[in-house]
Amino acid sequence: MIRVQEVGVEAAGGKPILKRVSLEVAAGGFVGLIGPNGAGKSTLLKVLAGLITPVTGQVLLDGCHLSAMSVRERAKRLAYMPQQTDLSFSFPCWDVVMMGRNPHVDPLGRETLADVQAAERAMQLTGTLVFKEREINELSGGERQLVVLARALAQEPKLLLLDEPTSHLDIAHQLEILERVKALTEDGMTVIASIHDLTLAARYCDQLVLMNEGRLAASGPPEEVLTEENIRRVFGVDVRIAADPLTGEWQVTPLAPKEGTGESVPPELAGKALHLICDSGRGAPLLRRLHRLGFRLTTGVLTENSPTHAEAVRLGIPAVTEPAFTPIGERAHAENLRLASQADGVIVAPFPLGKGSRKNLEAALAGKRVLLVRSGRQDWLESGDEAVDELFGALCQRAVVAADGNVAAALGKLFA
Amino acid sequence: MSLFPLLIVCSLLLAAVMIVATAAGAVSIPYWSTVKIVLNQLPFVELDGWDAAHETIILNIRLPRMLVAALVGAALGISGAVMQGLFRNPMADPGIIGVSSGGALGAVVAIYLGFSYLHYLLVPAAAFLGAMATSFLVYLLATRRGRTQMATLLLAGIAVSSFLGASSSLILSVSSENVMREILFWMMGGLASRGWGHVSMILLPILIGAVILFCHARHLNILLLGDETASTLGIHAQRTRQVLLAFTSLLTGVAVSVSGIIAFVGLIVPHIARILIGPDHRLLLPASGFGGAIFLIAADTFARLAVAPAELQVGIVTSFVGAPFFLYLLRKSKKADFL
Repeated sequence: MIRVQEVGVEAAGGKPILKRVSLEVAAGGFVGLIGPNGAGKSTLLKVLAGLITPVTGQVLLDGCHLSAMSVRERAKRLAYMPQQTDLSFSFPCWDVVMMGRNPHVDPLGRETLADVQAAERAMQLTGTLVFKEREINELSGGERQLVVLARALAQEPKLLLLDEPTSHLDIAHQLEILERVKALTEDGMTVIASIHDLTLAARYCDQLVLMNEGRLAASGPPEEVLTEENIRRVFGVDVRIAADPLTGEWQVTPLAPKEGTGESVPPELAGKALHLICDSGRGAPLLRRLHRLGFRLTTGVLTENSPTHAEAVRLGIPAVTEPAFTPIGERAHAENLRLASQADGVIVAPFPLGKGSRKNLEAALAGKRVLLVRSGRQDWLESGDEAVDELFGALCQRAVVAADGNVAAALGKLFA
Repeated sequence: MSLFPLLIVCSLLLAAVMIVATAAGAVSIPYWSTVKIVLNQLPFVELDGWDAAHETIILNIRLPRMLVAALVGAALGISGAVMQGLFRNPMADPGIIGVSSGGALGAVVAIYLGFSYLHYLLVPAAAFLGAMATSFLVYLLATRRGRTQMATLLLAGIAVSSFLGASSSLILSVSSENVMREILFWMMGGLASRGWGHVSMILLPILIGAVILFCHARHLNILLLGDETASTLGIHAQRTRQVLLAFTSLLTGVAVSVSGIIAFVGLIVPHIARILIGPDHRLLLPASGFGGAIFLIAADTFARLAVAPAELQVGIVTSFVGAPFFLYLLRKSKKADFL
């Protein structure tokens, strides 16, 4: 269908944007272009659309050189949907879709029945027939994008190029656009789309092309391209890629921002030993942040196989655990007390107070320095158990209290 | 609204305005006589029953002047609509790339050198040359490596216009009082004593230019979506814009050459047309053409009658009437926001 051979593109100043990119797409495929901003996805799409003439290499569409085709000929074979279309004028949607027939109408501009039918079909395929008489600038962003898609389909192209068709759209419209595009590929249309949302890209595309700094970093079926390793290499971001237990779809979950961004602590704090106590609270995000900040961590007492425990295991952090629905036993308590008292500091993340919280609170009080984290109004409510509330009161007296977002700064204060 | 009803409505309106305008004047001529005198000029039509003096007034004075007004108004209306679409800018007028100021300088030089006494079409010819040369110069200035940026074109047009305007003022300031008066009147825009010579000079270029621009109306619609989209919809954006710019410059240059600078027609007529019938250039261009013709005939008639037996410059009337009316529409209409 389309063959890209060693295509190179340079910016005005001679800075390369695409470096010898080669790619082959078979008819009827749905190819997702993924990669960081500035990787060259949009540029590649523009080269495919004939909007940019590459300095090296060539693009073959059904064996014909793209550069040798007339503008009109090209517009009959491929349609391109830009990232954002300037549609601030009050054309009725029908007129906008009919503009897609431009390469087909005769030079005098007479529209035939075939043109009208093609435009109607395009609106039907995109579910936009209801907007036919409405003016395009009165529609919402999502509806507008569907009308622009209809315009592209009215060209009756064999190849559809979409530059971030789902950006700026709500989740319902994102899914609608991708579902409709997917249905088109099942009818034999070839689609190449740049998509930022990796989860959606994995779900809809049958081939993913990962781009980085103007090159292809990986290409193939989603499960081969979308690996934690590839994402770390290209985006510099730690992610977890796993099949969602409910849907079975690949799910990309970002874990930590890129190195060198986000919060930081003074260098002299790095390497300090911290013990995190979060009982049955949500400790995983805090654990991950502290790990990233470079602290040596331990944690306890956690419920076995809870999300916090799973994260501790993934990060290689020693954790004291008890099976679910089991009170904290003597051994676990002793171990927890030992870790808390040996650490340079204890961090207490919010968890619901109750009778069973006593031992974890005692362990927290055993710390040399204690930081109590608050994340909102609803945490640290009184338990009603006198002994527990008393322990918590004592903890509040001793501890430095910090909001969740300020933990890094509060740690500086804790060790000052 | 589709094209044919629009054309019919506009033609009827234009015909009515033309009859009223031709009949009105220092010598008032009955409408029916006016119609008969004009129809009698058509081949195979034999009519009679009017005052011979009326025939002379209509055929030699009022009819050609009104036709010049119609043609100039239509040219300005259409060019204005095309320019606003091309630049996607509501402030664009036909003179935006320097055509008007170039035409003015041409005319000023010709008047200063006394050409107006040699032949009455020499000043228009000089104005036309000035207009064409200026628009070509501005286009060249804004084109680099074969690409023309519309924003650069606009700015280059403004810069060149102000340079040429200063040149005109310089010549004006060293002119004798009589020449100064003539130049000032020309720059205000007027249609006094325009005759068949002027009509025959502008008829063909304006008709041809208008038809060619109208044939590009559909492309102009698509160009509104931006160059990239236009290109992927099968339109050679750069080439189409060159054609459109060339023919709007031609229309404007021709109009300016016989009438001087008539302000506001090319700016407000397309706006009013857009408010009434929407942004589709396939309707907007004919509507702006007819609208411009009707507006300028009406304004010129007013200019002839308002301070009779003296006359106002029509450029003054268009601004005086046009500006408040435009502001009224702007405040009243929800669709006034451009395009």
